Amino acid sequence: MDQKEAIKSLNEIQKAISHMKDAIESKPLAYIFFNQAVICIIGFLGYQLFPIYSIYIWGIVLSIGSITSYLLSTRIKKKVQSLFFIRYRIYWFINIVFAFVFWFILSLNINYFAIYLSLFFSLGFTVFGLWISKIHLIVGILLGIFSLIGWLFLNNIYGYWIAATCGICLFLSGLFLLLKNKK
Amino acid sequence: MKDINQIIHQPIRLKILSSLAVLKEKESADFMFLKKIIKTTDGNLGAHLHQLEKVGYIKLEKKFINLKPKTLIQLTKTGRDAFQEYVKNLQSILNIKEKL
Repeated sequence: MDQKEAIKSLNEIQKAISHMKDAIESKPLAYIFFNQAVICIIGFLGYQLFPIYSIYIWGIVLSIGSITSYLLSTRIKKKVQSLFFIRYRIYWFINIVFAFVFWFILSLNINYFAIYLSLFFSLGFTVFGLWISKIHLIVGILLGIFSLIGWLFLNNIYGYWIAATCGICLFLSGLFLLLKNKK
Repeated sequence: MKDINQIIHQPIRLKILSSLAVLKEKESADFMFLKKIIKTTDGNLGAHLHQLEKVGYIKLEKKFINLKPKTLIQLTKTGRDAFQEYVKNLQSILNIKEKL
């Protein structure tokens, strides 16, 4: 085999690998990111506009969001018998349950609900990122930074701020995953 | 000059093994999904899968999921090792050491 043929074969391998990765992870994860962006935007806007009901709004938004995420990740299960999305679903389910249980245990004032939740999301993404994917780690760190900036300097419009930053951050992450393997 | 594994070197089989190599051990891909990824016909994919199964590079499993028959394809350890060896040989032809 000559070098030209070796290069051609290696290129074919790279193409097949990135095509497969795109089909089984990037695309479904991108749609899950879009879904999480919508959850964040509705949840935090709800907090800003109707603070007294924010815990109920979050309860509803997270329930609907979890079902949508579940359906999105189930679609891939029909194509590939992969453990990735099973882990993903279990991980976020445990996270959300912990978030609510801790909230009731700590009995914090409702004013702290938004910062508590955004930091919890930030931690969730960071831990998942350390465990499995770099993009989740970046999203987790950015959400943590935006949450703290908002809480320290933009307290009166915290809901708007975190809805915008969190929403944009998650939406762009989804877009990045969708476009990264396109040539 | 390195010996190149001729079973893997065929373009369709190379695509099949490259795609399956993305999956982790014990994970498998559905036949119809793989057909879409490889962009080939049922008959062609089936024939190449049969050859790869014969040399022990892949394992085919027929299952019923939601009452529908499905063929699941899994890369075996022998197949993964052979594929890695093939990539190493290509890289050595080009004098590169990077891992794919």
